[in-house]
Amino acid sequence: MSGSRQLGNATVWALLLISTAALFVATLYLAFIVAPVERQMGIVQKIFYFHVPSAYAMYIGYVVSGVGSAVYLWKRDPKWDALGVAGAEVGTLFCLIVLSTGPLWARKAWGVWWTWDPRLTTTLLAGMIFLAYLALRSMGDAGEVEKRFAAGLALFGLIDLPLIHYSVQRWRGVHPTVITGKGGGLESEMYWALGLSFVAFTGLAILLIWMRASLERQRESTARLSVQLLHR
Amino acid sequence: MRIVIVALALCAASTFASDVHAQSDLEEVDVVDEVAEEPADERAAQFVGVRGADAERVPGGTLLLSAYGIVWLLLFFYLMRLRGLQKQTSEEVARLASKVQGQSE
Repeated sequence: MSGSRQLGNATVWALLLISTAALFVATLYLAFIVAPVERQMGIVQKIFYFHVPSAYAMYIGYVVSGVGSAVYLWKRDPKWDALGVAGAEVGTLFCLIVLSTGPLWARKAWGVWWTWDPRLTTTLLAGMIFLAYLALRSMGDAGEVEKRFAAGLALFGLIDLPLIHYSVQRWRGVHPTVITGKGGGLESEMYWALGLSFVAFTGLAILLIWMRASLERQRESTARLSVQLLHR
Repeated sequence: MRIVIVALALCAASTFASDVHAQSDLEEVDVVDEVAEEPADERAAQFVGVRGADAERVPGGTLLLSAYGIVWLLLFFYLMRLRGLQKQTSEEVARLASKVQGQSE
């Protein structure tokens, strides 16, 4: 990579990092100070400002993983495989956040920690598919066969994403639909807090995927060099 | 021709018989439903009192703090994992560099 390109990347990286941090501060201010407390659920409704954007960041991670895996299967270029790994890992991180914060909200709103609602079930399924992907990739140094098999698994996991999104409309369930067309909507301050949180989480997801993909490329190069040295 | 008429009559008879059987099955289901609607024998044998006005309230503040705590904790752990991977890669690069140096000498 040329020096000017590295400098450009570092500048974009720094700008993204600073703006994401500033957006998180603004989101917290809007969510806790400006946005009103919800009438029925009370203060626990504020979980919503991190829970929903986390689900969105999970989609970003898994879509990046699916696209990276598809291009890797087509071109066999390791940089796409690195993107697949990064997307799967970051997506799973946000999936864990969604599946941990959701039950805390559900305890107050539904009276139970967990229910087999279609959206919950399909989200859990996506998390398990990508956990299987990560387990496969973590078994020592992944060879070509493991990488291809994992890429196929990521594509399989990608099929589940539209199911998560449309499960609420298709199979009803108990999940709220306040930000879709059928819902009653949010108050304007709530919309601002949620909208800003979406932008902040997008920035965070991009930053983490970028970091992890670049790290994976370095690991891949190091492993390749190691093999070359061994056969010299 | 007679064989055909007999066959048709047999078919009609079997269809009628199966309809009657299905009807009687439905009646049996109705009877079962009536039985099922009777009150169960297993009932609560004890009522336990709850003390204090807030006893039944789910603590929303604690749940909210736990949720935000989990978010930051998971992000922190993931950053630690990235740092660990970075360290591992740096060590591997250093090992390879020393190996290359050893081979060239």
